[in-house]
Amino acid sequence: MKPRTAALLGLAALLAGAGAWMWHGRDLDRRMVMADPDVLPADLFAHAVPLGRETFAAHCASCHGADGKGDSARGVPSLVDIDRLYGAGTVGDIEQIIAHGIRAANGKSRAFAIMPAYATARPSPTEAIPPLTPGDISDVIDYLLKTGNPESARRGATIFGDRGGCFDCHGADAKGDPAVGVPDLTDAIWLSGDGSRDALYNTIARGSAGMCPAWLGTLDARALRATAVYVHSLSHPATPPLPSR
Amino acid sequence: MSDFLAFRSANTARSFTLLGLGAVLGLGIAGYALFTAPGTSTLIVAPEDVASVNQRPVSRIDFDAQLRTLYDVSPTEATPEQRKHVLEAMIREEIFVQRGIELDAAGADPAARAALVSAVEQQIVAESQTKQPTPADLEAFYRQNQAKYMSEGTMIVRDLVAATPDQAAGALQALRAKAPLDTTMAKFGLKDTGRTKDEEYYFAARIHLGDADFAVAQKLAAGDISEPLVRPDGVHLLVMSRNAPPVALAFAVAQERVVTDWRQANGARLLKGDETFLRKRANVLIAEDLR
Repeated sequence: MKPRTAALLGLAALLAGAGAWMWHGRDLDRRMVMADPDVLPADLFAHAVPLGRETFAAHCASCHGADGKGDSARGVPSLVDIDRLYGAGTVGDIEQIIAHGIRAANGKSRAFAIMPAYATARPSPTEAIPPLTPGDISDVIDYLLKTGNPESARRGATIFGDRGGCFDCHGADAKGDPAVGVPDLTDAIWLSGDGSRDALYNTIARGSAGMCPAWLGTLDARALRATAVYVHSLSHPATPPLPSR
Repeated sequence: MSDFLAFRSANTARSFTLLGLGAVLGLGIAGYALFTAPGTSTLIVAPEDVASVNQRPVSRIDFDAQLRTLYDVSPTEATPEQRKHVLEAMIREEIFVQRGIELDAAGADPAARAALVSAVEQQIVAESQTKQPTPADLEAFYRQNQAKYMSEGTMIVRDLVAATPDQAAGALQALRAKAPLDTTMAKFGLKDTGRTKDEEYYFAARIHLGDADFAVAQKLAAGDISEPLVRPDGVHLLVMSRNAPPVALAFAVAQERVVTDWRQANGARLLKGDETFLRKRANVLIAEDLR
């Protein structure tokens, strides 16, 4: 075979290979977007993770950190633990949050509750919650941290379950409510601060209402799905295939 | 075949074959672009959608969310009936929204107008929310708005009231001479108004004492007693036990609020800019009597 002929055939083979590779990639994208996110097959998971990692680095890492560990000083949750603020932490739940955000300017955003600022005249902009005194806040902290004298912790429990209105979101057992994005106060994972007395005071006195932008519109369905899969993989490293709900 | 691949010499069959291949390739590319471009009318539902209504997509993400909300099932777990019910509801909504636009619902319905205004505002602000502040942005914002990031200020103050100016003056003299409070109150007939109790934040003390008395209390240091304050119900003395005025919070402590405030300020700025642009673009005519 003449060199020119061989080159032509080689070029044709290269083009055919590139076409097949592109078709395969597009097919994976299509299947990934159409699949049930919570039971993604292994090949789609493997396809999604690198793409999701790339999107995460470009759009999410500036708040959640390159390693996804969050920043408690800014009230940004870690994504590497299994403690989820919203939902059950499935890929579907994560995808919803990435698409519509939390307290974002999006009609479908999750914005059910905020942490009131109890050291202000009007702790909540929407609910009729009375302010607390410095002593009240100290008692609630004693109750949550199980510190101080038993009497102050008992007073704190009363405030938590009564006039403070804390029970309304965090639950009577203080274990939070993932349906409305309210953190568990009984475990060792803190959304804001390090769980110290000062950090708790800062949150109770001054409130908290973190937000996550709504990425739908900025990211396409493929990137949204892939990012959700990647974020899920951070807390479930040996994942594929993803467990069913 | 050897003639076909002998490129040094002309070959009619080769020319037509390459021409045909080029034409097929060109048509393929054009067809692909035509049927996949956004807004193009096609018979294909995009993979990220579950339906298309007059070329308007019905999102698969929203479909999945509806299934979870209504039935608490994933798309795989959902029964065909559940899927059909959700899909039909979403198609119905899309059809009615489109009809609403045709009927100019926003022109007449105040609720639709308000929803539209809110949706546009949200869309403008949403763009700003995807922009992340750098640490330098946050620190600069914190410095520019230092007054917002102060501790609350607390005080423990007792508000005592005497019936006459003489009683108040006598009590003041005794208290400044370090006489015990309870003894002095009993001796001069002072009563605790109960307006303040235990340690209070400044905002609460202001509400309880009123602006005028709070202004006096704010200037007292721990252990100070105010000058007699003549009020309609008697002559008051404010006895300050502890006064911790607001102090600037460290950036690390205020950081979470700084991020929230930075975003809000950024969104508000963008909203204002867009409104200015839209106003400039709009042809607004104002009635003569309102000019």
